[in-house]
Amino acid sequence: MTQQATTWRRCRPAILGTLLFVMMTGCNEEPRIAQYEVPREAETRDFRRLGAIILFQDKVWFFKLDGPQKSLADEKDRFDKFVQSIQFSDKSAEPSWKLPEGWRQEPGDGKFRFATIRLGPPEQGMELTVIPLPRDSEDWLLKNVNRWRDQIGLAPIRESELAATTKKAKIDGKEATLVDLLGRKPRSKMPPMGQVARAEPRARPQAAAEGGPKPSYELPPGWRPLRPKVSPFVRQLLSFEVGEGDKIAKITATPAGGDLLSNVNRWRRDDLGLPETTETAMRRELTKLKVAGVEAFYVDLHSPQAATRILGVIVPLREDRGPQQSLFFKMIGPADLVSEQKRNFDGFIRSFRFGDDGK
Amino acid sequence: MQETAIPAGPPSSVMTPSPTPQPRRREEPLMFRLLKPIASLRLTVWLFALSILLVFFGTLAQVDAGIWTVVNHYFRSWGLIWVPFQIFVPRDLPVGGGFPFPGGWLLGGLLLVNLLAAHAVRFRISLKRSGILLIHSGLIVMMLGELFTGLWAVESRMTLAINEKANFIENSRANELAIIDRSDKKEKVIVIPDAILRNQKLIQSAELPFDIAIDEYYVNSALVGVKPEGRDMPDVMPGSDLHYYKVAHRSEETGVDSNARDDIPVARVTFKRKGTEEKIASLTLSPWFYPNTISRQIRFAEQNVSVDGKTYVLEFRPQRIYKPYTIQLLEFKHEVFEGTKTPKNFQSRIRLIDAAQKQDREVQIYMNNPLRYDGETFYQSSFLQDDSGTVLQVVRNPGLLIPGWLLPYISCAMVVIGLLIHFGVVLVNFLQKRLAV
Repeated sequence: MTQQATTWRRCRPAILGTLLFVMMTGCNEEPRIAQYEVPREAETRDFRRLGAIILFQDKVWFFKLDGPQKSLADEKDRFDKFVQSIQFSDKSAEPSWKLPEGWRQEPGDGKFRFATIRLGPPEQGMELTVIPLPRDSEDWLLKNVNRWRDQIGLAPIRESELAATTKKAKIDGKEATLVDLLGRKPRSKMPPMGQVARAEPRARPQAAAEGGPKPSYELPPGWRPLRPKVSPFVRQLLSFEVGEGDKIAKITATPAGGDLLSNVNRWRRDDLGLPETTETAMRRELTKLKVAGVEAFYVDLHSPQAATRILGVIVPLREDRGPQQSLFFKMIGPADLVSEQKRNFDGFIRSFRFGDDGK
Repeated sequence: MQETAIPAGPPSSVMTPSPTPQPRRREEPLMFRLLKPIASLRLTVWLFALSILLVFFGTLAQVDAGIWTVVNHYFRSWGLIWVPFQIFVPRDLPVGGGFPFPGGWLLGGLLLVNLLAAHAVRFRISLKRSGILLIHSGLIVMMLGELFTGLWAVESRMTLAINEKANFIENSRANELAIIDRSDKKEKVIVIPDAILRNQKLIQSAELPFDIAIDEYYVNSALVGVKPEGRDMPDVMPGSDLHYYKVAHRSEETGVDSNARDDIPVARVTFKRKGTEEKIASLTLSPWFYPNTISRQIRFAEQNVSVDGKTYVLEFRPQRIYKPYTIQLLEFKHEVFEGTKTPKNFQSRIRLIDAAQKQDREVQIYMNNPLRYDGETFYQSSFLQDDSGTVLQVVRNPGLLIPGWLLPYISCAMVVIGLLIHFGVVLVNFLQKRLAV
């Protein structure tokens, strides 16, 4: 009897261990379909955007009225009447309209913004802007509706959903797309000074998954670093902006493929609305310079009314610096601001180093 | 029949070669006899050798498979696993076949039983042996710790924009298809675990408003850009960055790839009217379209399916684990060293609200200062674009009596102390003998 008890005492850990082992083998849970209810978060959609998008000749005219939903509700009828009153002059290729009572028109900036119209008390921040942009792509309508949606925190829609989420109307005989969106007040997208760092996403789109040495440069005064844009088509290396309010110039450095001519023509066509140029004509306008020890090309382009100016530097890339053929530096913005900043841009280009071998 | 007489008197020398009677052998109890082979040291050596081989096979397998696939298949496995011959030869030389091999938990379990049996059969508790006992106990704690981690530990994330509240965390290693009915004041959610999507061709359930046929399923995929001309193609989704994307399947991320990320699956799914072959919609679903997957850098159009006048939103997303408390991000700080872009500090100021526990307080989460609450540990992990929010890593590692994350520390401490005691005792004995001589 005593011996049996001793044996049990001796063997107890082993038996318990085995039991635990056997128990664990039965622990795997079968996945199954589950059902539950969660209270819905009350969405705060209190910011309204009324808009009209009208294509006239080669430009798309954007009439956009933003404001708090409550205040804008009273202005909706007046906005509709305002839109109905828009007329385009074939001569000047510009629109004109009848201003509703109480609305105050301010002149445009002569650059991007054609006109600004303020309504209601200033603290409500209701503002109607009129901006013409070149029709830059086939999907211009969807792209711009989605751009507006994104600005006020709404998910993008598919082309097939355009008809259900927007209205078509005839304004001065032209086809117009009317938009009425309810979302959240746009947040300033600009990060605070000196605080630029990339959020490390859980996973990145394929084209963005690249590493590499970090370039160095001297940041000119007043230039604010921005988060470089990364998409499957564009992977900016650097991005900055300079200027205040509506007068902003953007500076980017983007590695890209394609030959010199096609890229210069892309800037001329897409950014400035200029006709494409030829190889010989382009070569005449190019100046040569050295960037980080590499022979590069400098272009200086103006839009037809000289409102917008582009300073561009194209640096051919060595094969080991990536699959792209060239690094494109570009400063684009209101012509007077770009002229002011030209010295800074040139200094920035001179100070640029790839960071891989000190050059 | 003649009876054989047994002669009386002292036994003859012929019959008993030994004149002295042999002492009667003490009979060992049955359990002892059963345990003895299990406690064999030879078995220990064999099990260790097999474990080393298993680690080797698991390492080779990571050339083609992801680290978690290998961990689950080779190491966290109770039975026999299949080791393909292909892992031993260059991949451009295709070789078929393989061989069975004991899985990691099976070997670990056997080692545990072997060790416990050895203690039951061989070891005696004494001061001299206390070091060994402590070392072995430390090893047992270590093995159990890994078992508990494998069985119960969950790694999740919580993504919050500034002012956003959440009462759920998202599992980093499991996905689910959520079918959400938002027609009421409450969201009615039906969730189908990823494992069902992966293993079933047709999903039929009383809970579902339709049948779901899984036409294709891939463990991993990539988000690829589509040129604007392709925007009308059925699987193409517009992104908030004004580009168009689709999800293309790709091979699993491997353990040897230094840029490997988590695998993100993709499923091509056809929704059918219940019990019929009538097709309602056909969609490509992937967690790529769920904003938190790419730290909310791009948002995608909502995917939904309508049946009998009701619209259900579809989200293929990380598995949600709801909590009895809510966390709100009040502020996110991203400080850099002056004049540089080098991060100095990432810090989330959050509000923890748990009505049942009467908790409503502010907590600062930053490096080496996680929030531990209700069995979960929230670490500062990442942040959203333009510092607009935070990503917290949430780790749950429960043990039986002590938290699971403590077990490796305890086991290491036990082994170290055990080694000190054991070698200390040996040293003292040696010195005593030397002195005696």
